[in-house]
Amino acid sequence: MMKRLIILFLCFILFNIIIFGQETSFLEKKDPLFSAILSWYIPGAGLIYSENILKGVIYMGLEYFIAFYGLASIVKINYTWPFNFTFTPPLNPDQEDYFNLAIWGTLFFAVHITSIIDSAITSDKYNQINSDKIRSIPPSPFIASLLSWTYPGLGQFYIKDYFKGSIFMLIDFTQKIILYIALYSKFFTEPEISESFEINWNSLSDSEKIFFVSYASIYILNRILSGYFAYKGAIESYKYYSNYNNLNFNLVPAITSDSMGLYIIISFK
Amino acid sequence: MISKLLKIIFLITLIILFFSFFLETDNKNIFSITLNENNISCNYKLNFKFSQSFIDLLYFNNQAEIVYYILLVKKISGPIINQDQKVMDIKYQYFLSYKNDKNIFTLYSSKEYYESNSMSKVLEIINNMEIDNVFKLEKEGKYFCSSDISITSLAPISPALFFLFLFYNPYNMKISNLVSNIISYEISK
Repeated sequence: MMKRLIILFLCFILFNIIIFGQETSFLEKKDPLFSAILSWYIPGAGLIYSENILKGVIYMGLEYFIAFYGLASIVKINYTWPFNFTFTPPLNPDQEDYFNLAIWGTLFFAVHITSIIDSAITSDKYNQINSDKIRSIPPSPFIASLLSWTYPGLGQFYIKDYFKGSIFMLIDFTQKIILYIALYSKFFTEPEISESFEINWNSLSDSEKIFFVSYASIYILNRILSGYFAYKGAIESYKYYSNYNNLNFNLVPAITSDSMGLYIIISFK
Repeated sequence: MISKLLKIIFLITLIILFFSFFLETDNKNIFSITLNENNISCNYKLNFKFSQSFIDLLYFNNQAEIVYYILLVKKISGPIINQDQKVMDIKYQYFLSYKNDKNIFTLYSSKEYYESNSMSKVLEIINNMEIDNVFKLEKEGKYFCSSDISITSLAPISPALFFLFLFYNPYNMKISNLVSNIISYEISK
């Protein structure tokens, strides 16, 4: 049993090395806008995408540190091992609480925007340094739709359809803002937040029911539409790669001993 | 202690950001006008440079809009106050795109059409644009023009792009308030 596992493990490593060896004959061209939007959704991810892993990890750590430390300065958190948090938000926030919120909020915002700008500049620099090796590689429809499903509009940025991507992102952003406003107006105006409360469908008012249903339907519809258009757009965008960088590729269905699926075969003229 | 330190950092960054908006790059753009009978023609010598990111954007089915906005101003010199009077304005709109099937860049408006297989030639046309018969003068006096030129390929619709484009924007370019030479128009009798 152990031997089989070791052989399987070795096969896995060797298989990966073969793929890696094929891929490293050229480098992928980085898209500055895609890396910026990656950083907008996941802190520091755009820098990791543009192969500056150290910077990316630093930004990621810094943003999460600011978020949690800032939260802890406003909301008192009691922590007991292993995973017990009790949050006690200030019932009557004083001037110091508002000052902390403003300072930590602006700091978080500043670091977030800096990471977005830095990731765009870093990917641009990466393209300039490796200008003789880089190639634009056609996007995978599956990855495009997956990205759009998790973060609306990101798939469109991946396939370089920036206008559509911006619209899906805007819908997602306004939806989040509306949710925060609704939550704030519902719960934070009542001072007895520390009391336990239940939410029943029957006890909700009609307007609340309409809000929840419309919110959920827009949330899902935005993701479905974004994912669908990203998938379709990725296949349509293949025509732009045929003349670009003397790149020639074919989409071939294939079944091998270990996998089956669609393979993109890339060749250079 | 930390909040005091943060206060100082916060103030310093605000001051740096405030002063960074006043930094200007060297301006070598020239805009001149010539008078032919009563028609004004405009000549540009601009310094636009397209980055690789901008050209990449065009490759993938995005088009850029180029707008030359020209404003005609009449100089009225009085005994006490010199006054400038806006007479009329006009917009010339061009579109720049890449045709994938023919491997050419095209620059077109409702009246004109240029095409070339190299970006540098198209850029040369944009930088040395000559527009004839822009305005027809009717009254005597001293005139000059001011012009804004903008190249827009991607509008910052989402907030992420809006904040990004404040500091890093190779996709949209703008030159504003280019002032031309002064010409004097006299009706010959």
